[in-house]
Amino acid sequence: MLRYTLKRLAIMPLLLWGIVTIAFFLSHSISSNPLASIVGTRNLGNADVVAAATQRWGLDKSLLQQYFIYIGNLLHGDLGTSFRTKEPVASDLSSRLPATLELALFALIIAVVLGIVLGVVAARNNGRLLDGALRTVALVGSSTPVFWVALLLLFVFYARLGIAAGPGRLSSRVDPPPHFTGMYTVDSLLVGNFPLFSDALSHLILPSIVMALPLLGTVIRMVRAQVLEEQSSDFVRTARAKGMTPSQVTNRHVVKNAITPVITVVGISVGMLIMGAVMVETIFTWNGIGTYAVEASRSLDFPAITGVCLVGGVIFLVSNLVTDIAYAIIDPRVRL
Amino acid sequence: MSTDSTIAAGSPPGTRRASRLRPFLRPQIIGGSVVVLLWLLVIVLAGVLAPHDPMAASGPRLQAPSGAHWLGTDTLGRDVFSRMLYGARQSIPLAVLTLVISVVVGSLVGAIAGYFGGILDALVMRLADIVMAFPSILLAMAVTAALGPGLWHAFIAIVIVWWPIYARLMRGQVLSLKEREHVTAARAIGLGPWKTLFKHIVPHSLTPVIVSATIDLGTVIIMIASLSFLGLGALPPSPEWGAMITEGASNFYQWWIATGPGVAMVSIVLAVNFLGDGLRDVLDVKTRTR
Repeated sequence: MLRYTLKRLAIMPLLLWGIVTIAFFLSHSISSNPLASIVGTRNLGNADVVAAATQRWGLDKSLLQQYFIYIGNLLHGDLGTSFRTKEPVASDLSSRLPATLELALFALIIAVVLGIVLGVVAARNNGRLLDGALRTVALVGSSTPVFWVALLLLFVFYARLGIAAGPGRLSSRVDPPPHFTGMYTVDSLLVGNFPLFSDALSHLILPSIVMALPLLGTVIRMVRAQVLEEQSSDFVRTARAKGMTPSQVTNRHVVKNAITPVITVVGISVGMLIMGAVMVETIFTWNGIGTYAVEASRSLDFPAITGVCLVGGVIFLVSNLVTDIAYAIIDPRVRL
Repeated sequence: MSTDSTIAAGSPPGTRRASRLRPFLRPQIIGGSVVVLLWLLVIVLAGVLAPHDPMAASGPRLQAPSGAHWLGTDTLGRDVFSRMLYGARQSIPLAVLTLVISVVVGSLVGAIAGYFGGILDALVMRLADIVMAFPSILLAMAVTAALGPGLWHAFIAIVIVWWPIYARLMRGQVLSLKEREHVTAARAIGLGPWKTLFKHIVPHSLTPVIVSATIDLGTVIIMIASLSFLGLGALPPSPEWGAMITEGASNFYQWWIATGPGVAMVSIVLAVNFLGDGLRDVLDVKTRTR
């Protein structure tokens, strides 16, 4: 397993280099002029401003020169400077990452916990109406575009019923907690500010449910199938023969074995969560990596676009590797 | 199919075909096909079915649904129902085309890489690895950002993101088929490598690729709409579903603007997912995991 892990770790920088190279040349192959987003359209007529900006941002150098400068800086941990915010991309990303992580973690918890419960319920009612209903819900959940569900839920629970918090991470005129982790729920608890915690939590509920939905369907289907498979295995028959009731067998033996594969879902889901983050953050005006990526794409901010792709790639690859390793540790039958 | 021989003995022609079709007669497949067919009808007949011009104002702005406007009107007074029908002409054919091109490109690349191997194989598959290491939405956003917004640019972006899936699948198929006896026989009677590949290997490898593509159709429809929603795909005033939902998002209290295109999208995506799942079960294809 160590060899396998090392091999995977060794390939990772190559893959990331590939991502950066593709993202770099893609964003530099554009026909439109990035100067417009640097100096603003109004200043484009001013030759002095344009010349200064061209030199300042290294746009007078050849594409290959720019590429090698970028890669050189990257190796020193410098992701360049955003055209739009004029801040280093690395600090932009690190200030926005906690918001996305907080959202994604909540979504993951909702999807996994609810998915396991509903999956077991569906399996225990195998073939009955409840099972059919849950499976339909699971399929509809994974067939519905998240951005539309987000609008629907916002309209019903926020605009009409007024029982959910609106867009944003906190209510207006509420100051964020002091920065420790950048996750508002955690930071507010750390300083013991409970009203702030409940405000942050209430703003998390709707977006994290939306983000969890596509995943939830996958988890339900997987747990259901696993429980059904385990139920027909020998140890279940033995347990029944010993005199355990069906629900005792399910709770003590079957579920424990059936939820192991859910770990793989976490790995597969990271791509979905990143996609979800982009869409959900846009609708809920959540100031995370997703909105940053959208703003960067709209304003041709290529250092930012490349930076987001790199961070996304790292998260994606690392989580896939961690999933594979975790799976091998938990289930000794899996050999890497 | 052990029943085939018994049926073939004395039954009239037609029964045998019916028994071949029987596995496909599942509620999933039938239901899915009916909805897909309905949408195909809408695509063909949008001009006849739509009560109003999708591009021009046909009533007061932001009207709630009524007898005259079944799904209300949008910010410019255009009929949402008519726009929803015309939207099918954009989203569905484009999603199908995206998949067809991705399947063709991916299969060709995968088949050639798998059959000939060597440096070509290594290079192409590493490129596929890199593309698949990108979270797909981010790569698609980067491509549309570079090309500028537009429905065709969204199409190019998704093809770039999608082809490696089929390349990998096809390569795996070709690798396992290439050592079979009938292939060796074809080579032995003097058939060239290209003819062997495209006459004796590729046709036998297509089923899993096509089933996989059917399952992906729903995702691609959502992906195109997502890019449009973000302002990177179809641009207003085009009646594209994702772009229409964007309009609904900025006119939040007029719920009907986003409802029509949203329901339309869910129905077609759900239908193709049912269809794809059913086909996968019947044809017993192991689809890739990603």
